[in-house]
Amino acid sequence: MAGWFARGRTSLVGRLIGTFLGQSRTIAGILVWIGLGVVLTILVLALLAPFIAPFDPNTKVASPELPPGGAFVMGTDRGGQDVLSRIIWGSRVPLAIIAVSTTISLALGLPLGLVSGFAGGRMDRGILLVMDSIYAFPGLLLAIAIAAVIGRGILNISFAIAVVYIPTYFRVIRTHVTSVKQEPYVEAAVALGMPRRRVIGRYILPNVAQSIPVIFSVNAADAVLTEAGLAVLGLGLPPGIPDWGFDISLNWQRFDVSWWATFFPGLFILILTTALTFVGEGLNDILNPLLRKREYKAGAQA
Amino acid sequence: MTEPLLEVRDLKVYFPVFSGFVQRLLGGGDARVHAVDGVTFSIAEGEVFGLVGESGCGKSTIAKTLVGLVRATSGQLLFRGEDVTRPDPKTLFRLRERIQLIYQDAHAALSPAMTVGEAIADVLRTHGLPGPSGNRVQTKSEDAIREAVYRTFDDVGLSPPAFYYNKYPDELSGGQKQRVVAARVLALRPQLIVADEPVAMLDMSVRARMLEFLMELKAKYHLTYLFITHDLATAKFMCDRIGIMYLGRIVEMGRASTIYADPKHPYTKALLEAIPIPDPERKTKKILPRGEVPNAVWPPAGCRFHPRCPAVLASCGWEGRDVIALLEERWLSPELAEREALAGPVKEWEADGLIARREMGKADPGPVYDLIRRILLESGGPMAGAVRKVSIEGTVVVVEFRPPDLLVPKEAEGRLVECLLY
Amino acid sequence: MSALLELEHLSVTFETPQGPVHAVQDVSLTIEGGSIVGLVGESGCGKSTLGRAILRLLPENATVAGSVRFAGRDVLALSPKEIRDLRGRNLAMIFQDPMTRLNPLMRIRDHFIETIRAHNPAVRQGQALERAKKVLADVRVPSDRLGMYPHELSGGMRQRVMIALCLLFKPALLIADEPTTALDVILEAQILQLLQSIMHEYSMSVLLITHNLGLVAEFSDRVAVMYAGRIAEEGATPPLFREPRHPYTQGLLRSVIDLETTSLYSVPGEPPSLLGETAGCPFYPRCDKRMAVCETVYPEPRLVGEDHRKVACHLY
Repeated sequence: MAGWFARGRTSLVGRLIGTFLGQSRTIAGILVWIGLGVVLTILVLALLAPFIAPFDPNTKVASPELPPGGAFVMGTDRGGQDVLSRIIWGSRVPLAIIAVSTTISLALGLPLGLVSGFAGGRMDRGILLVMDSIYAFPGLLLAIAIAAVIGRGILNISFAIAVVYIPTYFRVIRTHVTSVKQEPYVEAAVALGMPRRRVIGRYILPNVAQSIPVIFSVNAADAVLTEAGLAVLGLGLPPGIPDWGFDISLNWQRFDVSWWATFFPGLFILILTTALTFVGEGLNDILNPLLRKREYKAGAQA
Repeated sequence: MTEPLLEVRDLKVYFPVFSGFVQRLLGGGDARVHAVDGVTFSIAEGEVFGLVGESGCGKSTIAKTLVGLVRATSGQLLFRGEDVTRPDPKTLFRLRERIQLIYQDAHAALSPAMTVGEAIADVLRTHGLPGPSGNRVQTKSEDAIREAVYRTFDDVGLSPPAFYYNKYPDELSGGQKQRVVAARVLALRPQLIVADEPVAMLDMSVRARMLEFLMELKAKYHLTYLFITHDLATAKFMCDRIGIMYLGRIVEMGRASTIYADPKHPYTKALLEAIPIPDPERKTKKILPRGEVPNAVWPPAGCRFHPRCPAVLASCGWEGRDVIALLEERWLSPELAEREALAGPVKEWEADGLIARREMGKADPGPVYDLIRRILLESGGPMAGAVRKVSIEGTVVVVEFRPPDLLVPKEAEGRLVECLLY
Repeated sequence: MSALLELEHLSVTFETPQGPVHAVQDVSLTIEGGSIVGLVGESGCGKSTLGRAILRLLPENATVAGSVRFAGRDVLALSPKEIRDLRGRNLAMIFQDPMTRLNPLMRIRDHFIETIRAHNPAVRQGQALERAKKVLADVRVPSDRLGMYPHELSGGMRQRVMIALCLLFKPALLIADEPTTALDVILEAQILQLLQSIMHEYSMSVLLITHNLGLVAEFSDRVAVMYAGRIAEEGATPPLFREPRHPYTQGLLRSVIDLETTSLYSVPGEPPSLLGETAGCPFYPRCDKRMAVCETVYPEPRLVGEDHRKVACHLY
C-alpha cells in the first residue's frame, strides 16, 4: 500500500505521505503512529465531549474531593465537579489553542522567512535582528508579558503563544531558504527568466516545506505547555471554561488531600505533549533523509 | 561578411572577495577575484565554439554572464549587433529567449519537488508558447501547454511523453535528466545555447549518445553552441573553433583542427600531453608544468602561465613572488635547506610586485646577498635573466626584476596566440 | 608465495527499504606485492563499495560474505581493535575529494600528530613532527604548510597531504578510490607521477579505483573491469587493452572519446539496477553478441588465452 501511495501519487504531499508510510515499521515511524494515534484520540474526545462526558463540567455534582471510584472515575475536585468530565471537556482548549496559535505563527513566520532568506541583504539583516530579539526572550515569560497586556480569552492566549513561536518558523525557513537559494535548480529557474515570485513560490517553497511539519509538532507541544503554564499562573482563560492548566492551578494546593484532581489534568497535559513530541521527532527522522534525496539511494553506490 | 551571432569584446568579470562593509574594512580592502580578465571572441551563426580550460579559468563565469546570471564588470557583449552588456529587466527577459544554458549537473538543475513535465510547463507559462513566426504566444490554456510539453518531450526522445510528464527527477537516469534539461531550454527556442560541461557527469559509455543528441538538436533547431569543457578530447570532436582559457584569459584561439594539429601555446601543449590515453603501449614520460593554477585574486604578472611554463623566457613576467616560489621548491630538499639556512626560512621573504625582499634585522645581509645571487644564477633559469639588480638597502636584501614585455594576442599560422614565444 | 591481497567470492549486499541491493557479487581478485591493479568501471558498478569492503568501511546495513585475506590474515574476521590497527598502518586508503576528508578545524600538523599517535600513543610531539616533515618532503609539500588549516591549501596540495598521511606507516597496500576525479587533468597527471615515484620508494602496491580508462592504461600492471557488481574481465593491462574479450570491455573501450576519436559510439541501454536478484549475465540486455544461454545462466569467470585472462562470458 505504501508503494501504491508513493508511485501513484504525483503530488509532493502524496510522495511525502508515501515515504512516511514506507517507513512505518521503523522506530521513527512507530513513534509517529503512536503520537498521531494519541492526538487523534484526544481530538475525538474533544469533539464528542457533549456526548461522552458523564456530567456537566462546571456544575457541582457531588461533594468536593471525593476519591476516584464509583460514578466518578477520576474523583471530584475542590468545587465538587467531576474530574473526568472536566478532563474531557478540557481537551478542547489545548487543541483550539494549537490550531489558532500555530496557524498565526506559520502565517507570519513562513512568508517572512521566505522573503527574508531569498532577498538577503539589509532587509534580511533587519528582520533577522527583530526576530532574534524576540527569540532571545524565554518563551513563557514573553507569553506572560503579552497575555498580561492583552488579557484573557482563547484568542488572546493563542496570539501570545503565536508571537513566541514566529521567530522559530522564521529562522528555520530562512536558513533552509538560504541554502536552497544556492542550488543550481534555483539558478536555472532564474536563468530561464522566471519572475521572482514564481521562483520563491514554486522552486524554493516546495523544497523548504519539509521542515514545517517538524516545527509544527514541536510548536504544538510547546503551545500546550505554555498555555498550561499561563493557566497555572492565573493568566489563562476565564474560570467558566474547563481547562487542564486551570484545574492544576485550582487544585494543586490541596494535592496531599485530593491528589487526583491535580494528577489527572497533569497526566493528560503530559500525554498530549509527549504525543506531539513523538510526532515531531519521528517526522524529523523520516523527513530528514528526504532532504538528502539527491545523494545515492541507500546502498546502490559503486 | 555576415555579422557574428555573438561578439564578446574585452569582457571582464570581477567578483569582490569580501562582501559586507565590515569585512571590507578588516580584510584586504578591494581584493577581487579576476574571474574573467579581458576576453575577446566571436561566434558565428551555426558554429560550435569551444571554450576549453581547467577549473578556475573563467569559462563557467563567461557562461553565466552570457545568460545574465552574472553582471559583467566591464567590456561588451553584442548579440546580433545589439549591445546586451547591461540589460534592463525587460531586455533580459527577451534575451533569455535567445541565449540559454545547459547545465553540467542535470540533476541539480531540476527542482526535486517538481515533476519534469511541470518544470517545462512552467517555462511555457512564463514565456508563452513558441509561435509560428518566431514570436511567443501567451496562453492560459493548460491543455495547450501540456500539448506543447508533450511535443518537446517527443523532440528530445522522451517517449511516450505522457509517461515522462509525471516523473520526478530522482526517478530518471542521468541521460534522461540531461534530455529534460535540454527540453526545458528548447522550449524557449533559443538561438545560442551555452552548454556547460554537458557530459562531464555522464558515464563514458553513454557520453557519445548525449553528444550525438546535442548535434541532432543543433541540426533540427538551427542552433549555435558555445561548448564549455575541460576535456580537450571531447572539444576536438565537437567544436569547429576553440579558445583555450587560462586564469581568465584566452591564450590560444582558432580552428580546432589547426590547434590540435599544431598547438603553439605551451599551456595548450601541456593540456594535450597530460591527457591519459587508454593505450598502454604508448607510455611516454610527460613533461608537466610545475605547480598548480594560482588563485585568481592576485594573478601572476605578465603572462599568467609564466611561473609554470616549461618554455618560459626572461621577459615573461618574473616578479617577487616567483623568487619565493623558487626558494620554497629548492628548500624541499632538507640538505639544501640546511646549507642555505642563512637565507631562510621562506616566510621571512616578502614579495611586493616586482621586488622580493628579506629583512635581515640584526644579521649581516652580506652573506645572504651572495647566497641569493648564487641561487638565482644557478637554478633561476630564465628568471635570472629578468633580474634588474640584487642589492642591499640598509638591513634589507632586495631582488628587483625588470618589468615584463607587453603581451598581446598575435596571429601565428592561422590562430591567435598570446605568448611571447611568437 | 601468497599474494598481498586475496579476495575470494566477496559479496556485499545492502539492506534498503526497497529491498536488498547487491552492490558486489562474487568477486575474486588477487593483488601481488609491488604491483598496481586498476579496478575500472562506471558509476554504480560496485568498485567503490569493493574498496571500502576491504577496509571494512561499509555502513551498518551492509552484509559482507566471502573472504578478504591481507598478508595471510582474514580481514573480515578481525576484531574492531585489530582492524583499526590495520587501517592506516598496513592498509591505507585515499579518497576522491580531499577537502572533505581533512578536518577543517584542525591544522595540518595536528592531522599528522593524531594519526601517528593513534597507532603509537607513546610518540612525542617532536618526533611525530619530524616524521611528518619527512613524509611531506616525499610528496613535495613544503613543511610550512604544517601550521596551516586545510582550506588554506590548494586542492592539489590537499590531495598530497592525504597521500602523505597514508604513507606515515609505510603501508603495503594503498587503495586509491578515484583519487584524481575531482582534479584537473594537469594536476591529475602530476599526482599520478607522484604516486608512481612513491610506489617505488616505499615498495607499495596500489589498488587504483577509477572510471578513467586512460589512467588505468598508463598506470596499472593489471586491470579488472567491473560491471553490475561483478568482474567482467581481468588480466594484464597491455593485452587487455590491445584485445579486450568481454563485450562490455569492448564496448567501453570503443566509447572512450580521446584525441584520435573520429566517430562516436555508445553502449546501448542503461546499466541494470542492483536491486533484487537477477539470473544470467547482467550485460545481457545491452550485449550485441548475446546468446540464449546468457539470459538464464551466469557465466562464471574462466581463463582464456595465453595471457590467462579471466573473462565472465559464455563466448569463451
